[in-house]
Amino acid sequence: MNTVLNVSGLHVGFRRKQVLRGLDLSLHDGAVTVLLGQNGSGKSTLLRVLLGVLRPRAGEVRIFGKDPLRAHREVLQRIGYVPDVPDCYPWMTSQDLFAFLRPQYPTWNAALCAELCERLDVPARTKVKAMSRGQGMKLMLTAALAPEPDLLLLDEPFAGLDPLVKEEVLLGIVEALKEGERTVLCATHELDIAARIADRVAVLQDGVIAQHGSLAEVLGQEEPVQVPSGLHRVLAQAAKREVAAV
Amino acid sequence: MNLVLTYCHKEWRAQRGLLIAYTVLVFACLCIGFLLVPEHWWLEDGRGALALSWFVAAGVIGVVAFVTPALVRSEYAAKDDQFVRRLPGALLPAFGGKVLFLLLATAALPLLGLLVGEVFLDATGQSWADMWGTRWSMVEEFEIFLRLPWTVSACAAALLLTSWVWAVGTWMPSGRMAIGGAALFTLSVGVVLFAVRRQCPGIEAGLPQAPWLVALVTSGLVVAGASWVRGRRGGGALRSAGVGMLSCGVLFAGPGIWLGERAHSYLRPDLDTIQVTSVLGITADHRFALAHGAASTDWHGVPLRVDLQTGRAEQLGDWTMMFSADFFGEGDWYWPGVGRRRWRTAGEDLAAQRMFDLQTGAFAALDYDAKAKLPRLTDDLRKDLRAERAATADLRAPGGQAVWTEGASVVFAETDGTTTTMPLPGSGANPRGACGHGVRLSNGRLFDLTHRKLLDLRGKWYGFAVRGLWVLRTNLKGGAWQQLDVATNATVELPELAGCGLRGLFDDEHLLCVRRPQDGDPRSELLLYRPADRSLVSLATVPDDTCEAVLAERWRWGSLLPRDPAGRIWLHGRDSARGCVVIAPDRSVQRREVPLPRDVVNNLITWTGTNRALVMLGWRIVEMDLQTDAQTVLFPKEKP
Repeated sequence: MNTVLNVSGLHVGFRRKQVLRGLDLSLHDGAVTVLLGQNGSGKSTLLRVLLGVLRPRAGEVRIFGKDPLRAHREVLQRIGYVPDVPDCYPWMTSQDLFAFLRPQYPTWNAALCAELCERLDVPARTKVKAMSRGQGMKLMLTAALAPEPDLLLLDEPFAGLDPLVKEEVLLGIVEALKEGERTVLCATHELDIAARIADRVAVLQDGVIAQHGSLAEVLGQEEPVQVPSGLHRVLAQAAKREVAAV
Repeated sequence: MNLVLTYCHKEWRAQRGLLIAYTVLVFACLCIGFLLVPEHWWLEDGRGALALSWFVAAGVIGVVAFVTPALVRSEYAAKDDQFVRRLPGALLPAFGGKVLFLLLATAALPLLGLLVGEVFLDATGQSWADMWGTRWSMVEEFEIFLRLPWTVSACAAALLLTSWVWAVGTWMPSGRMAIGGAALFTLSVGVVLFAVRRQCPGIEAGLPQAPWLVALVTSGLVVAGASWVRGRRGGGALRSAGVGMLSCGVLFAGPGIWLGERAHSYLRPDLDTIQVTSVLGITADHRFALAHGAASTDWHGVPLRVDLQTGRAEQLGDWTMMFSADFFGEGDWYWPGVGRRRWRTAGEDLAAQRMFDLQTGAFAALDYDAKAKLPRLTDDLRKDLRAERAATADLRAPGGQAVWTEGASVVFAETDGTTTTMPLPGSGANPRGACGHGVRLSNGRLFDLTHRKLLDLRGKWYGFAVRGLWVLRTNLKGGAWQQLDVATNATVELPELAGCGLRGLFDDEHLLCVRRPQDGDPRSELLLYRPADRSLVSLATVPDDTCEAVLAERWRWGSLLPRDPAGRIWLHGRDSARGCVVIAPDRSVQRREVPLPRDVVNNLITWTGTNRALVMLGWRIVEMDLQTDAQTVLFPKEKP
């Protein structure tokens, strides 16, 4: 099994605040990994490092065997990214955005893009700044999936969505997972999402991956997993296991 | 290239709303504003061009204040400028697209302003033809020139700094305050340049401007590119600022070192290859010269003491160091530079005065009365200075009596060894030049050395005095001559001198005159006029106008016509290439076909022997043999 993503000893901080403190993480080809963590735990920070948007203070990041900072074009052409809020130019419409992105991704699939727009009901001529949160997320998902990326990074894609829209977005992701061998890293704090899509779960706590395994392993349960009501229980569980290991 | 065009198009889409709104609004306001100005505003010469220039300026403001800062700000959306930074390899094409867009906008907006302005002026019946002016040049050629309003210069300066507005914009949080940041950055660099220029005024002389202006613009683009492409990779505005500053350091290092070397060369020029810009004086033995020299003739010279025997020099101070001859009070104007060894010197601090001895090269402190603006002379020093003036002054009363000036006084050396000092009457009455047995004062009046009195004349008079008889006229270049007897105050007309030009006092009795035998005759007749009996003696007639001026050492303003060590008077024409005339002590006149070298005519320092002279030849001190044209370079011996 190939290792698509390998992070070792990652240290990231902002001024005096250390966010990631020697984080290690590996993702294998085709695995769907959900990154669990509280707000402010560093999930988005990790994703930004993987995208080459943030520069770590120490540590090594390899995606497809390459450093995303040094081989930015080669790595990022194979990555699809869905941010927690649309980060594209607010004056663009979805058509503008797709026309803008098409030349930048050699693997851009226009037919897939059109299909996703139809399936997810992405408005064609509405500017991003005028879209609802759900519409914006669907747009971002479409833009991320259209190039048929080998690695899909999702940063809290369901935050702030109403249940109906959340379900639509989730179904879109699930369909995309079915259609290709794709490695996924999804950052969220929603356990039910993890239960539905995750092959593996990584718990981010105190700047490191405290737990990494199947959801059952992380929760310390037998299959089928009973998903607890709150993330804090998962984190508490992870902390207990850590103390026990010590 | 496809990606560059994609980003260029993106840039246009991002900025078009604001640019369209700006251009419509500002041009409309300008049109309304100029419609409202009064009629007489348009009647003044140049107003049409000024109005047009404001339309162009509006376009330039659009480029500098809107397009350029927006190159950075337009990338910021909900999550700062993450979008462009996370796209695969987008920073470089984005930069290329922005450069292309900036170039297009820089061309389009000012031209749009020009177009709108022209349409407006035509529609309102105004003209901008006053941008063109005509004149006759010195060589009588008709010239057409542009009379560009001041706004054009401002626009040019703003456009030159556009790339730096962009560069600094990438350093600012969220791309804001780009113009303010760029202004601050430019000011910081400007302070350094100003400081250098303050120490070395005119250091920029001789530099070609165009390459530096091109370098200014391209370096801004390079820094903007580095700040954006390298700085934004894995970082934000802070990293861009760091990379940008580093780029500035690398880019400025070369010019900085060059400027530093140039400034050092300005303040401490290499004395072996220095260029002499002027010679102030020379000792009586012709060995030491007080001169100014610089690494470039466009710069202020530093004072030098030059040993003409060894060809070596020592620098006496920096370019602010002044040397003067005035020891005897305000208005003391005494300048024979040959044979003078004592000089008063001061730097920017006038209170710190010193006396410099050119012969020994030594400085001595000089007490200075700042209130009276006079040096306080000791008795011994005053005695030495007086003796030096007595020995070197060229003023003469009849009978060869030595006369010199001390401040606003005239001093006569009496036959019994004493001296008589006469303060010159009237305010501002400082001696400014000799005219035979008389002195011209700074207030335009004349002082007679024979009778030791001020002439009671109104207006300006030109002429010479001979033993109390003044030959004068009111027009410097022409007109009738009169003769004034100072003793009787009687005036007579001198028709015998009609058409004559006076060259000076030939001896104690005669004036040397030159005139043409007839109108249109190219020949010149040399005559001696004796005012005592109004006799006129012809010396010779030469075939051309080679008697227009007298060859004189620099700083000479003696009573008698200057002569070389052999006692000869040299005359030359305006065009010294046509030969010269030499009058021997026995009054024989020789026409020499071999012309005087131009540098001898213009820059004769002193005669060093019969037919030998020290001359400033270009930027060197040279001893020249006038018979053989042989030249010996005395200083500097090496070429720069």
